[in-house]
Amino acid sequence: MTKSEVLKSISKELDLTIAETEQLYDSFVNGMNTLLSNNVGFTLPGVGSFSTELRDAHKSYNPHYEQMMLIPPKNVVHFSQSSTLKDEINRDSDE
Amino acid sequence: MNKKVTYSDIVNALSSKTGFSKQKSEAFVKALLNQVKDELRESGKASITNFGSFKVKEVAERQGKNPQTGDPIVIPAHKRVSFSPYKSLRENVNAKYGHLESELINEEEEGKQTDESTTDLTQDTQPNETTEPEYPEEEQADDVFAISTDPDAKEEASGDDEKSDDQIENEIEDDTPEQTEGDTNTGETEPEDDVESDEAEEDVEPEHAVTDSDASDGSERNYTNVLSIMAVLMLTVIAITTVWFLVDNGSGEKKQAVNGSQNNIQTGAVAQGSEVGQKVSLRTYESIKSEADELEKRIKALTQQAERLRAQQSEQSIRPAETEENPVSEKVSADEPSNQVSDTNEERSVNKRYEVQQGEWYWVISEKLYGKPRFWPLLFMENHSVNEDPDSLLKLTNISVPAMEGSADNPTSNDYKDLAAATKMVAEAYKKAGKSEKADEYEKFARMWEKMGA
Repeated sequence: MTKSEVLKSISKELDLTIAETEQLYDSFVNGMNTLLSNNVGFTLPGVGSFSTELRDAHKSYNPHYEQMMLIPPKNVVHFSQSSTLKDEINRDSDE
Repeated sequence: MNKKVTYSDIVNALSSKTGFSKQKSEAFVKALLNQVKDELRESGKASITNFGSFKVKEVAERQGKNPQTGDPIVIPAHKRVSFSPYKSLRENVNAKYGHLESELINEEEEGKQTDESTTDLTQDTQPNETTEPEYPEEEQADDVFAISTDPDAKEEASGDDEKSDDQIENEIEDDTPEQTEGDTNTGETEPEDDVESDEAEEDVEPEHAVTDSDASDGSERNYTNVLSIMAVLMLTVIAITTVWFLVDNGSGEKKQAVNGSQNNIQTGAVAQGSEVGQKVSLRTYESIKSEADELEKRIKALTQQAERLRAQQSEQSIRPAETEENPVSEKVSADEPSNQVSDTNEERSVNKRYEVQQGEWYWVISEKLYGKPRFWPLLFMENHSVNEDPDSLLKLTNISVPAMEGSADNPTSNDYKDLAAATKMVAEAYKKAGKSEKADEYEKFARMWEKMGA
């Protein structure tokens, strides 16, 4: 599902124009991006929680060079699914 | 620690930013999340553009443990949602460390270690080669001491060793041209030798204090001792020269000849004492002395030759397949074992052609030709222009193979530079083909090769 499709369905549901929905959408996504960029975690109810975590520098084998390399530290986004989402998905599979 | 923001904070911030009411903002967020959930349930995939994508993944059944009691539990197969952030989000989050790149520091150290190990091997073999030629010299020294300590006994034994004397005299007759040369030289250098001979005696005396004490009665005995030393040196030299000639003539029987030479030297050593008296009677002291000087020089030259011969022999023993017809080239290879590699590379320097078989790609061809698949950018640079997608299958059936200076296991810095240039070109080609991620990757590789080449 593309962004335009999502915007269309939401605008119908909330009685908003597509432009208004897009404004909401963009600022919502930007807000989440800036939060994570500043290492601030948050939870979206029913979906899961987002946070950032630091991966330390470590040594690893690089198959391209066939040699060990020093991998630098990296900050990554970590997502943890909510229990309700997990239950919903697994209930579906059971049925 | 990471800070956390509540859901209501997000909704409030959203409403204040967009100017919509809080209810509207929350309704929007809920609607959006519901969309995501519905999509996840239906297709197993969902995405929020510019933020990230969700995916349902199957987790297989596995054995786990109850963290409290430690009892084994079977965790049944289930599904879980995984999230992968969009590139923009990933880069923003990692902005702090974005400039860092993985380094090859460890690899270089390891590479050096392996290089050292290989050089160690060559060093291990070299000392053996250098120590072996020293044997004759040691034997000489032993002979000198043996003769100088009890010259009388040697003179007594002279009668017994007549046969061996004859043998050696025959050998000397073979080498007569050399000796005549020495004789002619003596005539020129005689006056100098008179002066030097006295000094030489004094030099020799402290070295052989034992002989001095034995022969302190008469100065004539001193002369005989010095003469005996000179004669011994001369004989050993003659023995070595004859051996060397034998070796040179019969290259197939080199080893045997060398062994025989050692035997000859040993027998000669026994026989030397007997000859001392004869030599003294035959030649004047000065002529013998000058000859000995000359022969000492020859010893050095011959020991060097012997070294080379040993090196050759060791080479031959290592590589019996090679013919022994041209010892000069073998000498070169013995001095520089790395030449083997360079020889093969010289063959490569004329660009080979390679017939591409169906379904082969650079990676595979590079592995075939160079032994390492990672050199494939060289092939690409040689055969293609920047405007072609490196991932597209080869249209050519016959490609030219660029040469490498070093080997695949041990590339030279120029190889690395070539590789860096080739990799840069591949990166450019990827960029033009619209594969920016691969282009970035290969740009990184190019930088890495450059570092290794520096």
